[in-house]
Amino acid sequence: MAEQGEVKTRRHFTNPNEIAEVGEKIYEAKYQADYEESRLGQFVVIDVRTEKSYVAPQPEEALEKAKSDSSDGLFHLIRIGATGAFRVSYSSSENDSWLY
Amino acid sequence: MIRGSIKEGSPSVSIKIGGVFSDQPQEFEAIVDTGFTGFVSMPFIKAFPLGLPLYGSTSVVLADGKSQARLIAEAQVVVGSDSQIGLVILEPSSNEILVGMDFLRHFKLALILASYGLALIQESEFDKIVAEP
Repeated sequence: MAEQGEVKTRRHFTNPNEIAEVGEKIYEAKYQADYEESRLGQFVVIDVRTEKSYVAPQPEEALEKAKSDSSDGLFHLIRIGATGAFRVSYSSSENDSWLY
Repeated sequence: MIRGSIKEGSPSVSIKIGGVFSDQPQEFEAIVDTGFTGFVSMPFIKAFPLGLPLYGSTSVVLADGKSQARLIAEAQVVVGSDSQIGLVILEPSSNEILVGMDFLRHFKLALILASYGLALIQESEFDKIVAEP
């Protein structure tokens, strides 16, 4: 019997929107309330297959923790308490769906 | 000190990008974008030949406040004689490489910018410049 939290989802993702959507849902359901209270501004990586989280002050550190625990994981990176992990200085009105 | 230039009105610096274990990173011109909080942003079409390992996704907040998902990869970036490994955001429809505030943090560099050129100096030098007399 699989350990709690060790269940691996082998869903196939075809574009980053899908990975992000699942990652955000896992984060909201399992970690958001706690992390926004205690770790605001830090970065969390969600393994969308195991639903585990890895937190660190910098994004590369969070990713290294995740990779060390799950070398074949698929990850979504979030900045705790922010809309996005990074800000960019451009707007995009293009439809990028052609790529995916 | 690393000197850059102003190209088409934007501050630009020469960097090399490669896979994490690459011994032959490729040279590119990157725009220094202080409005970008990440390390490197790179078009898909330029990243593919480098074979960067993909790790998943993240969300970026655009200038208009909208949020969009992006793929993330890891790369080795070389500036001058220093090399750092960091996260690269892959852009589906851009043709420019951007380096942002995390780039300065990784390399411990400060940006000095004029309308006709730029320089990247060590943070320790910047501290001396801005220190109270």
